[in-house]
Amino acid sequence: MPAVAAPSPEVGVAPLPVRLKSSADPCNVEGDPQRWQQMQRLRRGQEPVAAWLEGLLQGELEPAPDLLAALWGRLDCSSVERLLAAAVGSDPTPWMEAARRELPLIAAECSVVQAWLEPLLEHQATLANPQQLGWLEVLAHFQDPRVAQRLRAVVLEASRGPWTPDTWTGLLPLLPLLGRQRQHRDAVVLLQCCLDPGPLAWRQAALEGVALGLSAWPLPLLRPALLRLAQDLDPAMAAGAVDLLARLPDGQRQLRQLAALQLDPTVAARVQRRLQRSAMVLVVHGRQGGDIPSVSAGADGAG
Amino acid sequence: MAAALSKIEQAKADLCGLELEPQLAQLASTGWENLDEATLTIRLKWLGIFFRPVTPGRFMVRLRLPNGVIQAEQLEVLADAVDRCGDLGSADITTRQNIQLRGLLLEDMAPVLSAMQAMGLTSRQSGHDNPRNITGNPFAGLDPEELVDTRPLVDAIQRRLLADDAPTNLPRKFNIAVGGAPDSFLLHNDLAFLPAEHNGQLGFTVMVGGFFSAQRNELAIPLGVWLTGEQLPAFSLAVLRHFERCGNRQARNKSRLMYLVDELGLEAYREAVLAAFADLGGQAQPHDGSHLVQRAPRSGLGVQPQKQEGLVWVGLSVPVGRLDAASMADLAAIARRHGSGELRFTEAQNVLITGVPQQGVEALLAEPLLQRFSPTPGPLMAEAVSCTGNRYCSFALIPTKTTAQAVVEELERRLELPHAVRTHWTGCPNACGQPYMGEIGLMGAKARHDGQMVEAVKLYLGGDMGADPKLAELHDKGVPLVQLVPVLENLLVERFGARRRSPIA
Repeated sequence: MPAVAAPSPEVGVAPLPVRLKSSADPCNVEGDPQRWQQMQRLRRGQEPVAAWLEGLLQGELEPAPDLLAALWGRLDCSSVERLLAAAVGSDPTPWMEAARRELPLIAAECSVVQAWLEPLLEHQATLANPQQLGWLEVLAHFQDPRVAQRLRAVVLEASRGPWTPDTWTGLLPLLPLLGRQRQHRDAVVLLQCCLDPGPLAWRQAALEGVALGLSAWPLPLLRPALLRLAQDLDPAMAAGAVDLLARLPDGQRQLRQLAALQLDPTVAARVQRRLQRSAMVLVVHGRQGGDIPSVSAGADGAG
Repeated sequence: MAAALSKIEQAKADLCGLELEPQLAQLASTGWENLDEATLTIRLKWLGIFFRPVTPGRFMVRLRLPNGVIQAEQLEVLADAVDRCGDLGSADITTRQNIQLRGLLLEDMAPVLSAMQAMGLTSRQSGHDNPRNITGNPFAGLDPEELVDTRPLVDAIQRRLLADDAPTNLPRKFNIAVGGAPDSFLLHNDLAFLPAEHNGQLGFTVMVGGFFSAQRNELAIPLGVWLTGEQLPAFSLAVLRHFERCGNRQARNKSRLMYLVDELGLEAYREAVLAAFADLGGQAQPHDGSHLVQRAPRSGLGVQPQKQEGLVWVGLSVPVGRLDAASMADLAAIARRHGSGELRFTEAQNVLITGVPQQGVEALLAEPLLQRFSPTPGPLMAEAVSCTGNRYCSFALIPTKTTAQAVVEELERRLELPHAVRTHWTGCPNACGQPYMGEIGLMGAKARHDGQMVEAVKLYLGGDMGADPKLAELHDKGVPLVQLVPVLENLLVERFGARRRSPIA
């Protein structure tokens, strides 16, 4: 008997494609080539989605991340609403993994935005913590001012402390995701998180948020903050700031200023390395004046 | 009625990724989050730029290094690019004698590509449906056993295939290699030129159709054609043009060259390719497919005499092929300080420092970097090949590089081996780590262990790259990683002549 049965085309709703808790074949799971190929076909639209959706809705299929990842681009808005309202919509854990795997690739696609954004916004708002934070991480893969606003609120709240591990470690992934939102006003939030006293991991995650939105941030904010950060007591933070400074249009001038200061030896060496290869300095920053370029969903007529 | 184009074929038909090059700065300014999926995941690969879903916003650049040759000053530029990415920056030596840089922002691409170009480097057409980096004998021009220097041939093929009139929309990726020594195992390539004699003249017999994938794995088969070295570029172009025109664009899992050979039949395929070659003014000789490749590849590690008197190359083991900015800069400095300033990358993901005068060997061997990149690694580390793994690849089911390194180190602590054993580690069925070529192949999987789903590997055994090559076959379909060391330890004792070291009192 095959480990994975394909849905039958003869019936209205195909039989469940994957049997649950099969102990016959330990490899009838993620990583099994047959399963892997089936997920690829599902993701590419070469396999009907109905049986998989019904299986999840009825609780007959495990919400495995590979399955959920394959479904991101396949469902319409009403299917998403049903899914989120079902039991499978409560625990965000497999969804977070599925989102990390797939959404960076397709979260800008109009059809995916249309299917998922509004239901996710609504769903996330109805939950209590810790589920709410998990779903915020899922939601944060979509670039939208409302999403940015929710991320910003959580980050600002956490950045007030107290810095007990359970209050902030789970929020670390949100800082780079906030940077990816590329909202003008979040430059201040992220740079402040870098500069303010706080756990190093928190400040480093904020710096990665700054890096990921780099070309969107206003230079008048960015330059002085990075200059200050390049003199940070933590060499890793300082090094990161030096590398970002070097990418700015007038970064060489800033680096020369830094070179005249007394820096950690490893940071000073890094400044020298960045100065040596000025040909690689970024020259694209600020083409949009620091603002987010208009997203063309409406202009495309795709609604 | 013509079949509708697949999503990928539609994206390629709409716009060739090469046309994005002048827009790179603008795309970066807009932000990758606003790029459509086709641009992000397909077209940018024509410029060698890879979006990595595991590290969104941190891109990879894959270069082209014909024959794996790189100069110290070129490596320094790449080291600087990686250095700018701090802890997120790294580079991998690939199984195609190539290098890929990780951790770059999209904003970095325009300046990095420009800096690379100024140093004579390119990343053009290094990904997706393109002719990938062309490999050759890693010891070309140095090798006392060399039959033919592959470097100028590989360079000429690359120049021809990247010229303006060459195909830029193949149905699938395409691997080409040129053999130049008795140990040039190349049968995993779509198109391999193996050194062969014809009427007393040294040239190349043509092998076609080798590939590994999740669905099918094949070694290349003789096409029955012999060519001189000068004919290789035009013949490669003819093969690519025919593939572009006739390859399968409906099903990507059946689109590698061997499927086309199957579809047409070997005879008909040969005639079609020869006709395309004739259109370019070429004429090939019939050949029985016999060749001069007779044994498995040498590692090239350690101090090895070059054919140039008084010079050696020093092969260094780079554990699982992973480099950081500092080690790249150090390698470049060592090559310049002790050698000719040239380095080579091997398909086993190691590096060679070439043109070292005999009298300079001692000083080179005293370099601190060699504590990490040993010229005399253990018999497992020397030939451990690994794909990227799930740190950077969304397909991979296990962290292949770190697992491979940890497992190999532990096995070398436990065992004495009489000879090197080639292990190939890959994270998923796509088989980028070439598990079927390993004496031991390991493929990432998940398996149930103590009631839980855990990271695991499938084990393959018996891959042979010698005179009678064969692909490794499945031995065990799910060994949890927690059990891997003892399982491999027993295998190595039972099948590879390993002896357990005496416990230290």
